[in-house]
Parts: sequence; C-alpha cells; structure tokens
Amino acid sequence: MNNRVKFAVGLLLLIIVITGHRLPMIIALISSVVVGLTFERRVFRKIGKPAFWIFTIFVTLLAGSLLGEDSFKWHGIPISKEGVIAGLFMNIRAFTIVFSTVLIATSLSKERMLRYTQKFGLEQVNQAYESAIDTLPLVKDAWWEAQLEESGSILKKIARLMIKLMDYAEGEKIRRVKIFGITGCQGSGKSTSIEIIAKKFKDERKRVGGFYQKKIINEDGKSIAFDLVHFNSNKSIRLAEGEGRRGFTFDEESFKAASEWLAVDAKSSDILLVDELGILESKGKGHANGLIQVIRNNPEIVIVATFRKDKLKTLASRFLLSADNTYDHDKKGYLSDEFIELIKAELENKAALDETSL
Amino acid sequence: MSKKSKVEKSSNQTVMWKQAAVFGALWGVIEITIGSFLHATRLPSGIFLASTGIALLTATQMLTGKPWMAFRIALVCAGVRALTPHGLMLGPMASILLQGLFVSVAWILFRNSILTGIVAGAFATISTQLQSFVVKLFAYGVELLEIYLQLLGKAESFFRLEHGQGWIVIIFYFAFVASIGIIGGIIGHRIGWLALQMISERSKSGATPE
Repeated sequence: MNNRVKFAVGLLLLIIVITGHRLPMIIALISSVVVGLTFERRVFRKIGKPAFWIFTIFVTLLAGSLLGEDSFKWHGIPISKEGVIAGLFMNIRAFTIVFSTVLIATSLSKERMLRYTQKFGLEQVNQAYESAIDTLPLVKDAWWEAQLEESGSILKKIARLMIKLMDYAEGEKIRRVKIFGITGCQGSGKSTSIEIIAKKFKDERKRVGGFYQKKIINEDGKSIAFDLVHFNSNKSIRLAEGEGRRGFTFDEESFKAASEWLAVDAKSSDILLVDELGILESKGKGHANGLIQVIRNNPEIVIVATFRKDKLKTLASRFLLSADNTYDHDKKGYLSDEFIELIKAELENKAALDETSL
Repeated sequence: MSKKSKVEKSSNQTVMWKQAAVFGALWGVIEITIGSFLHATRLPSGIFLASTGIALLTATQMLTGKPWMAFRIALVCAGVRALTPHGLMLGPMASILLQGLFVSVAWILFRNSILTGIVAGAFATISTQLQSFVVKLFAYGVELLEIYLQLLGKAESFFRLEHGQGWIVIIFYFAFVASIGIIGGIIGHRIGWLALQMISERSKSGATPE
C-alpha cells in the first residue's frame, strides 16, 4: 500500500473513532484489522504486549462495576450490563486508535520527515542528527578528560564536561589520554613486561620515558628492597626497604624524584612507562599525584602502567583504565605481541593526529 | 538584509545547531544508559529521566545563553532516542520535546535565575505523569475520566476519608513528583553557574580553550 494511502486510511479511521458513534466505531475497528492483516502487520505489535490486555480487561471490569445501573452480580461484585458495553466500546476505540496511529507512523518514512523539516526551514536538523551521532563516542572521551582535569566535586566535573563539549562545538578538538594497563599476581612478570615494551619501542626508535621497579634480593634470595630505575638515564633510586614480616618502608623522596622524571619525560617522550601502581596509589598517594599531573598537562600522552591486581578495581576507576586496554598475566600468560601491537596502533594514531593538527 | 549579515546569521545558526547536536548527543547517551537501567529496575524511569534532562538542559541553556537552545537540543535528543533498539517511541520523544520547551520558555522568562530550573523541573516531571493520563484519556475516551473519578470516590470511602480528601492525596503525589523535577532544576542551575564561573575565570586568565 502506498504511504499516502496508508496515511489517509489511518487518519480517516482515527477521525471516525473519535466521533464516538458506536456503529462507525465497529466498522473502523474491522477495517483497521483488515488493513493491518493485508498490508501492515506492524499495527498488531502494540497489542502483543500483556500490559495492553491486562489494562483492557481492567477497563472492561471497572466500567462494568462503576458505570450504569447495577443489573447482576458476578462473584459478589455488582455489574451493570450498560457499563460492560461501555467498557467494550472504550476498548474498541483504544484498539482502533492504536491501529490507526501505527498506520500513520509507518507511513511517515525518515526521508519524508526530513523533507518536511526542510520545508519548514529546519534543514540543519538533519545535519545536527548526523553530527550528534558522530559526537556520541566523543562524549565518553570528553568525560574522561573532564574527570582528570577537574579534581573538585562531581558537579564541577560535569560543568567542566559541558565546557569541553561547548568548545568542541565551536571547533576545538577533544583530546584523550590512553592508558594501557598490565596486571597480574605478584611475580607474574609485570615489571619484565614493562622492560620488554621499553626495549621493543626503543628498538623502533620511539622515545620511551618513565621508570620500572627493580627488586633487590639478598644472598638467601629474599627481597630486601625495591629501586626505581629511570629508562632514559638509567639512574636508580631506592623506593622501599624492609625485611621479613614488618614489610617495606617507602621513601617519600623517591616518589618526588619519580614525579619529576615523569613530568620531564612526558614532554619529550612518545610513550611513558610506569611500574607500578598499587596500594598507595589506590589511596591517592605514592605515584598517584605525579601521574595525574602528567595526564592533566599532557592529555595526548600514551601511558603503559602496571597495576597491582588486588587494587585493580580502585586503580582502574582512579586512572580511568578500561578493561579492553588491560593485559592480565594471570589470564593470558606472558605478554603477547597482540597487546604490543595495540599500543603501537595507538602511538601511530597519535602521530597521525599530531600531523593533522600541524 | 545585507549579504554580510546573511552570512553571519547562517554561521551563527550553524554553531547553534552544532552545539545542539553535541549536547543532544550527551543527553541521548544519558537517556539510553540511565533510561535502560531504570527501565530494567522497574523504577518510575520517566520522572527521574525528566529530572536529569531538566538538569542538563538548564545548565546548557545558561551556558550557551541562546534562546530556544534547550528546545533545539531536545529536537536532536528525540532523534537520537529514536535510534535506540526500542525504535520510534512517541511517548518518550514527546516527553523530551516538552522538557526542551519548558526550559526554553522558563529561561526566556527568568533568564539565569534559579527559577528557570525550579519552574521547568516542576512542569517537566508533572507533565510525564499527565502525559500518560492524557494518552489513555485520548485512547479510551471521556468515560475513563468518569471511571477514575468513581474510583477516587470509592478509595475515599475505603480509607474513610472525607469527600474531597482524595484530591489532597493526589495533590501531595504531584507535589512529590514536582519536587524531583525541582531538585534536577536546582542541580542544573548549579552546574550552569559553575560552568559560567569557569568560563569567566578562563577569560580572566586569558587562556584560550585548551
């Protein structure tokens, strides 16, 4: 059936049923069912829902008991014949209205609606729809960036997001920090993976910044200390010392030095490697502030960090790490080439964006 | 109109529609994610979504300072909403458009005053409740109104209330519904105010956006 005819039939049935005369209403219902069965089965979709039928029965019963004079009793409830008939006609009206409105709605194709909007001088609505669909994935990036940039309340973060989106609408780019995570239980090889990544990218002449954690062991093979080793200068600094059950004591100075390394390297590196984020960082201590400062000041940097598994959930939300970008040694074994390729693709993507902005 | 002013007008219109597209996308994301969640939890999603929508629209209307911006955003969001797996749903789309209309009109009347959020919020959440009633009334006819009134009378006698006290309960219900919208409006006003402050600080410091 032609869309115009469909629209006209739907409208005609709607008008007939609204007049409220009983015989035309019955004819309209039968006609709409015939039209639906013959040309447009979508008209029956709405009445397939149980809620529709429950309400139909409910209306008929209520009309029977509340409208008109009582004529008989059903399970002790006074029912009026007149009321039941009124209820049935209410349902006939509702059915026909549903059928005819669906018929009208299906006759209005997207193209036709767009033609109408253009006719009324709203030709930019179509472009706005397309633009909105393109923007959908960017909203997530903008929210990510706003959260990192704004340390205040949630309302401040939302306000920041809105400013970002407004800037974007006026032609600004939405930048995004990409953090890749490596996790696994103790001794699973997280630091080794970081070193592998560093070597791999250095071999490819990429500028690698950041540091890794080196375990210092005594003659008995027990860990007695941890050092931070700077990739660029090979300098090392004592991070923590300790032995036995007393655990390790962290040196606050090492975090300051690490923050400085990160701040300097972020300006001159393609990729920043951080080993590792754990209990302290999950509480906003340790490397947390240094790393967040780097992210705020260098929103386009690519970061690969190791995360302690028992604190992964908290750390992932603090540093906005996504599950797609996380490599779990416990599940996947030793670092795969696939993960390295993922990082490489991001670096290439970033380089392409840099070229475009130039 | 001179050629130059025509070009300027067209360029302004483009920026306005771009802004509407961006904020419409943001609202669309909220509608799809929070809406699906609320729908799954069987909570009254319409009221809470309307309140969230009002918060967003009030903030955006304040931030952009352009008349009818909220309505433009609503137009875009209604279009985005139609792309969800549920497809074209006239009820939610009408609700979104009404919210845009309320915020736009309230902003024209009260500008950046908190009244914009309060008035628009109250109207928006109440309208979500009235909308379903009006749709049912249209479908089933005026007899439905008679049934509802009779039910109200029966409920009054069942709960041993005096004649007319049922209406007070209904008014209280609508006041509760309106209060949810008002909270959304106040939050939106706060976000808008914070965003305007951030922009003013940015222009004082002379920093360009990013």
